[in-house]
Amino acid sequence: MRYVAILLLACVLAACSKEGRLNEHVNEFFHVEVAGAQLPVKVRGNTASGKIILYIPGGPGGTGLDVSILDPGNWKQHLERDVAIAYYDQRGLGNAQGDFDEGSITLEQYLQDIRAIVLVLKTRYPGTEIHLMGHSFGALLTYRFMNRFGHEGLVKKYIASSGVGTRIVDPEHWEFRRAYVATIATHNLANGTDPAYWQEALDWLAQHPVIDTTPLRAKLYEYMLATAVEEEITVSIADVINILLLSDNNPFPYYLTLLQRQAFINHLVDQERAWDIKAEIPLLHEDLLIIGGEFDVNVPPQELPGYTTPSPLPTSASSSCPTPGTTIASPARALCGGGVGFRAVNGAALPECGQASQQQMK
Amino acid sequence: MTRPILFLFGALLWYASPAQFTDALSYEVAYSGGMFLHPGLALGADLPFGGTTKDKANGRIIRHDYLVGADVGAYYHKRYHTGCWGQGRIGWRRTKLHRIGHYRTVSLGIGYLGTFIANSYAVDAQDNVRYRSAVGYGHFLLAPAIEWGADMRKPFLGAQAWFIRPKVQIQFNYFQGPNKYFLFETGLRF
Repeated sequence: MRYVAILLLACVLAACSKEGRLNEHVNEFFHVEVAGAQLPVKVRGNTASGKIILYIPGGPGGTGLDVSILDPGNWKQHLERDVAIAYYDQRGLGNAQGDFDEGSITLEQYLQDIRAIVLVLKTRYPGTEIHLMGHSFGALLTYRFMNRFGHEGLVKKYIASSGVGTRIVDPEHWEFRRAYVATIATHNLANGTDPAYWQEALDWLAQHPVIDTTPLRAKLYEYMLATAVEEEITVSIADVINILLLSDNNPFPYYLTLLQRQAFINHLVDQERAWDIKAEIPLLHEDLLIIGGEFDVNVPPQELPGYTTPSPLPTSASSSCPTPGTTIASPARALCGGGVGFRAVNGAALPECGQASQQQMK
Repeated sequence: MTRPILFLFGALLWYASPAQFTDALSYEVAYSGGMFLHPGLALGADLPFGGTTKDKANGRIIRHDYLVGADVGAYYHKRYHTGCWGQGRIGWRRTKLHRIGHYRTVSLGIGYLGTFIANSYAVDAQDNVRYRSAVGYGHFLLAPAIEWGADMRKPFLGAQAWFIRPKVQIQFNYFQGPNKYFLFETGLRF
């Protein structure tokens, strides 16, 4: 038994490395202990670039480590060649561990957790710029982080992808989505795509200029879903084996405890909806790139100009992308309605617009 | 990886023999792989009691035993945690004496799990970052398991039987409800 204990101790210590490595193919893992939680962080990619993007997962309920394994954006082959990405699981989710109570499941604590991870990244990789990139719910956390801690200068620049800009209690929320369905329906009619269905949609919209009841909202959402473009993401048998058998992670908390997580996920959603986000976004004073999709049913492109500097909606991915190597000025002046526009974070060489738009359409 | 495992099980099945393994205190040594491939080791002992044997009309001979036992073990999951556990166990075993000594045990372990998270950075209220090579946590443990095994045709290193035992550890004191962890155990019983 003594030899077993020595062997285990040796294994534990072998997994430790206090200093991060700076090279082009890093794949490192550590935990950040903050307010009782142990948050797992994986840093993968090119740390020699001097840039690390901290990816804030969506949801609430999504996991960052899972994104790193499934790699739906193919970042491993593209983005991570140029910069490093830090993936993490939020407290209460995925492979986050530790000893904490329900009272710490708040958006404020989620921001504190992000800040702690940023501090650790700056300690572990000295001299490295840290950028935040939030997707969906993570984009909202990004906005909040900018308002709460942006003045500290810990984070160089920010990217918000598919972050909603209005709440469902805001009338504008439904106006934007109504306009979105009208745009797609008109476009499809012009192209002869399912004309009967989309004519019916236009007629329905004409009959309902204001979407203010639950049945009307449900019907509108039905039309919105019909506009969605399927994402080309496949999960192969090899992916399943990798996740269940060969994964770095314990898959049980990801996939088999959804019901256990639902209560506090709802709690987070309630907190999120209590925040008047459309009033806060124009107050952002840090460098921010906002990314949307032409067929994003969660954040239709009509919504983004509602709270950013008004600009004509781009009609194609290529026209909407900023010039490579440029920096987007604040607040929130960039809008890539036709796809996504990576290329603008402090001159970092990020994926080509066309590639990314295929992966980020929704 | 699949082929060597199937080959191993096939070899063990071929090596099985008519049952001799009945009511004695037995000891076990097992590989205990977290999510199959994260390595670990389990050591334990089982004491059957209250055994009954039934001769069926069709020539089958079935033996039923209750069991009490104890196990200790550990697993190493590099990017999750290292776990060291000890548990008492109660169970029920059904043995086909007429065949090659196949037996099946259903058991429930109750015990303690210590987990150690490696490579952790603590951030305090003053923004100080402190590195810790391992941080420990304690958990109450429940571990239901099903064991399938068979007697050896002839003793192998003194072992009377081999077995496989899928086991789920239900680890308490996690915020998001009890955490679950799967262990695939296979080993020898002496």
